[in-house]
Amino acid sequence: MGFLIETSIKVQQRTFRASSAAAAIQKMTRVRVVDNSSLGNTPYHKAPRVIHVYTKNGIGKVGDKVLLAIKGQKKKALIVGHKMPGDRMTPRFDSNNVVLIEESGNPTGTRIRVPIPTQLRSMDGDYSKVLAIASSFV
Amino acid sequence: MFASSMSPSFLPHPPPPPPPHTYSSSGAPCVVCQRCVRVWCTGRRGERERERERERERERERERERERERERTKTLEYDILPPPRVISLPLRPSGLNALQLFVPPRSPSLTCDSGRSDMAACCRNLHKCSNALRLLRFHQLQNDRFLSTSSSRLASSSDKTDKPGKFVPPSKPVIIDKTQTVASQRKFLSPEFIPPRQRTDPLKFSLERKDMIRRRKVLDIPEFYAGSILAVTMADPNASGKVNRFVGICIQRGGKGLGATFVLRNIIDNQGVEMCYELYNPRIQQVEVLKLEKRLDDNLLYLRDALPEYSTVQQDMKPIPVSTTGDVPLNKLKVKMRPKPWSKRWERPKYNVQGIAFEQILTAEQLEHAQKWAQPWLEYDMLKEYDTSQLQEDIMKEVQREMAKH
Repeated sequence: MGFLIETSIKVQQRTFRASSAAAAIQKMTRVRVVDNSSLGNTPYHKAPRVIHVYTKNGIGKVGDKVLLAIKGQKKKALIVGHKMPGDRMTPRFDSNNVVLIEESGNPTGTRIRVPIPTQLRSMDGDYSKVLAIASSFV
Repeated sequence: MFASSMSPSFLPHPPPPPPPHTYSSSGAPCVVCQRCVRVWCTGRRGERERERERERERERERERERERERERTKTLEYDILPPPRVISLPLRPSGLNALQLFVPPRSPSLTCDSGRSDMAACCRNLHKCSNALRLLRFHQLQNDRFLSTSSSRLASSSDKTDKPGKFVPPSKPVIIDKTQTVASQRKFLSPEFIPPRQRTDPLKFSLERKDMIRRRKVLDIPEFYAGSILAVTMADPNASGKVNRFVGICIQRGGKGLGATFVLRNIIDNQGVEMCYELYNPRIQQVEVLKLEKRLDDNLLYLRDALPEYSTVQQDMKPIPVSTTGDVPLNKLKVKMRPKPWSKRWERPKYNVQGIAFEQILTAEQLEHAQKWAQPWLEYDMLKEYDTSQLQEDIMKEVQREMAKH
């Protein structure tokens, strides 16, 4: 045999990643819905999960739209904060926050109690209605 | 402001109007103002009560003023030691001068406005006085400049036996101006000035230091540590008023040179928020230290897994004055953690965390198991030694020299 016999220590140390490196919000991340819509706030035995991210790479940052699976139905949402540290001078939240949205871009809920990052205002896309229902900014 | 009064078209229901004052035939208290126990309540009874309360407050204020007046105008006998007169002068001429304040308002001599009572005129001046008093106290805290006039204190002790009534002029006032020496009391070199151990040319670090000093001459970056509570205002084109203020506890100070950063953490509306600020970013307009203190560790990332009360800072917190000499106060707080799992295994010796109360959440067995990851040889590793004491002194002298130039 031409194979090298590895020592037992090396076999223990040999690790590999089954998934890609953590990078903000991607498919199968569980998110927290922060508006006061009934769909986002009624309890269900499964947490809302992201099933598709509408970006070129599959990684969602603040201001990107995603597709969620909530209570057995599909719903679009907008990311308003994530746990991954971003640019300096931008806030990093302790939970992955998301606001439910319709196809037209109108938010489903009527109020957002959680602070929203201000960079949403200068982002491309019509987020004025989401910003209108936000109560505080960070 | 985005909290608009007009409801946008896509909002389903407008907010309900406030409930009206209820009529009650049984004499039950009104739902809205809770005090009216009448056949019907028009809501005005509450107003009358409030008016009465305000009157009582004003009466009390007037009483206090009269008391103070009586104390001040008591005749002084020169064989009894009079109390020393402490006059505090505010730094900025915009505040009220204390000497103006000590002229008491005399109610009978006030001119009556046409159609208004003596009482109302008194009240207005009293309000001014109470505001002035508040301003004065505020200034006393902010500007430590005291004039102490201990009149006849020194002379009267010798004259007591001879002539009891002899007038001795008051001694010269002693002005202790503490404002000049505030900055230079404690020697502190910000950690980002100390270059890391690298193979780069020291010229790079000295050029960076020059730029850092230039920025510090424009913006005052105070001394702070991990565990201090800061308030940072930065220019934000997206924020209303173009300025964004964030208050939080500093959990980490990282980076060297111009890219030095610090992370502030706070919990707003039950949501934990962390902001990583660059110290030398031109967008930062003011860095204010609300509470200067040190903690047992120099990075408090474990606050993410601690109970939320340890990371909450009030947005409208007032700055707490700390002495400018001596050591920075050390807060030996041991933080209580949420149940495991945590974001990092803080019990492991690699993190060397002193500020967590481990015995409340982990068993002795688990703590012992964590010690398996200890690397006790690290402290004896000579290649990892980096003695910065000499470097620190040189750089401190250079920085103080450059800062004093302009």
